[in-house]
Amino acid sequence: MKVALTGNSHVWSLRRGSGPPGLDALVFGLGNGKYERRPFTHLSEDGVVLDVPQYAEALTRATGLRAIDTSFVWGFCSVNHNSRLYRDDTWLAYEPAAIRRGDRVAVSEELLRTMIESDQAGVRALFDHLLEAGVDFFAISAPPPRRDNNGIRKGIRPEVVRYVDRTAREIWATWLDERKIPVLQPPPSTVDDEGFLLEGYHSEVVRNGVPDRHHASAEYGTVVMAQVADHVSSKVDVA
Amino acid sequence: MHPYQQFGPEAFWRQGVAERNPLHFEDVYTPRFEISRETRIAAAGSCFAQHIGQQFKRRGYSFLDTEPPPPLLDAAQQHAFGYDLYSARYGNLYTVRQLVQLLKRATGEFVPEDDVWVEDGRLFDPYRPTIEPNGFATTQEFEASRVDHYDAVARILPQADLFVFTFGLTESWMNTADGAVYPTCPGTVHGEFDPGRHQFVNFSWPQIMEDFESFLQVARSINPEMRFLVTVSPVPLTATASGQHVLAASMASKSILRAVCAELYARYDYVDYFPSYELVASHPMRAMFFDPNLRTVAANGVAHVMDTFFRAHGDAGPGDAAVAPEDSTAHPGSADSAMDEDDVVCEEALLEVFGS
Repeated sequence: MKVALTGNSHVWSLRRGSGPPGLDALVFGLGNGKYERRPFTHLSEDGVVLDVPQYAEALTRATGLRAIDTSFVWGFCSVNHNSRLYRDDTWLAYEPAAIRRGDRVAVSEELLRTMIESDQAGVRALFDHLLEAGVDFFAISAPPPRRDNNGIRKGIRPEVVRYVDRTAREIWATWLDERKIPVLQPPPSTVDDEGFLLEGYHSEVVRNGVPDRHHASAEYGTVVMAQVADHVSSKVDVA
Repeated sequence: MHPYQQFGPEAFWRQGVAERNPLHFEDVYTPRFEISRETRIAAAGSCFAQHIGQQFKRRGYSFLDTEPPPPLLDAAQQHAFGYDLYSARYGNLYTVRQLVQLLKRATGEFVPEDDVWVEDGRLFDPYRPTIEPNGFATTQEFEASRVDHYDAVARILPQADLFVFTFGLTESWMNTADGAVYPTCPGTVHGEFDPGRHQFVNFSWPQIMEDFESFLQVARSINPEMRFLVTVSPVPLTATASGQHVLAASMASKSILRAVCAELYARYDYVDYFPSYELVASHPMRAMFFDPNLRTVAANGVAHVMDTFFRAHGDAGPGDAAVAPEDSTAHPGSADSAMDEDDVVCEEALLEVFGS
């Protein structure tokens, strides 16, 4: 069984992590997750075509394919990329009504859900297209937020980050469950009691003098790759 | 020599109307005072007022919005949650009484007995029932949203140089206990109609005048320099509860509102009137700007009205627009490229489903 793991920049930790013996997986990133907010795919006779040039080129470069098809079992690290939500400047002036402080404007549950579902629109469309094309795939969650993420650093309360992230994860989980799409959640051993990524799994990369406060480390990737191996082997067992 | 000899062609029906292309009634409106891009503008009113607010924004005027949408909310979803329609998230104010009571609720001067409608566990604000499409989930968020909203409303008048109000309806529904006026009849959009508590009211000319004058008083007490621009929505009633035929009821309603505007214009030199009603609904326009339902105003009608308004203020439209919409390809700033009827949030139109 050929396995391909791809998605946004969070694939980086999987790529740097070590897969367990026996897992033969092609791991490559498609590109920046900012394109995931809007539908970026369409169906063709060849499979699911990526409309974002950066993504399409990355796919072809890594696999030789022009469309995502049935030649691999695919793992998409494209869900729970909630940093687009929780570190947005919105939360400097607004907060979810359930936890808001008096000096912030309340955002209702329905309004928050609407913003989250809008953020998930592009990946939802990708997954619907994959289902329609009969592609065998599973979802891989992005890691949980880091306590030192740039949203918190610019003044967003950690409680708000947690709330928005948790709500978005619940919404994703429900959506995926309704379609029976398997999803690999962050391994519990990597997450602290409040839902943040344990510091030991933080990426320590510094680019152009700027520390990465967003991604997980290669060690995190190694733990997730073990999950991937378990998931893939369970498919083989079933088969 | 008699007075009529000194009047221009616009004063005579034949030269001013009958022999003119109805698309060229430019002189139908002469501004009483300047409105510049520096003028801080607030707006409220019936559905048609949304077009006016949108046009001020799209053309780069200083349109006040004290309750803006969260930046994360897509533009396409803002109207559904009552954002970006008016100067705060109060939805359509079809009657002046609504406006007056809104300001009193915001300051705590009026606390209506009918406070919240609960349907299937979801909470709706009787005075802006569609502001959350599916209602609020909890009392906590309902209350929080209301507090924020009233704070936002209270910030409008101290900041505004110009208040634009579009008169929509004379007909309304009132709570018999305390006179609270609803934007929609309870039970139509949300809530439950109770004949013992909910009473039809058709506001008369004196009542509307009194309401608007009380609003003027409040507004000028906060900002003595504030000016007002009033208009009448050309959109007829979707339905009437008056017992009359809807055509006669519409005509009566619009005539009363138009007469109120005339009187306001006559009494107060800081009130201007813009004839949007005449530019769409008067018979020389031959109903050309109405959609086939003869009620809603087509996009080109809105464009015509708004272009007439801005041209009178020296804003030539497309080429003069300071802010162009991102998705506009032809005429940025022109009303042609503005929201179309589908973008207008109008609870009153929902009454149509009860007419079958």
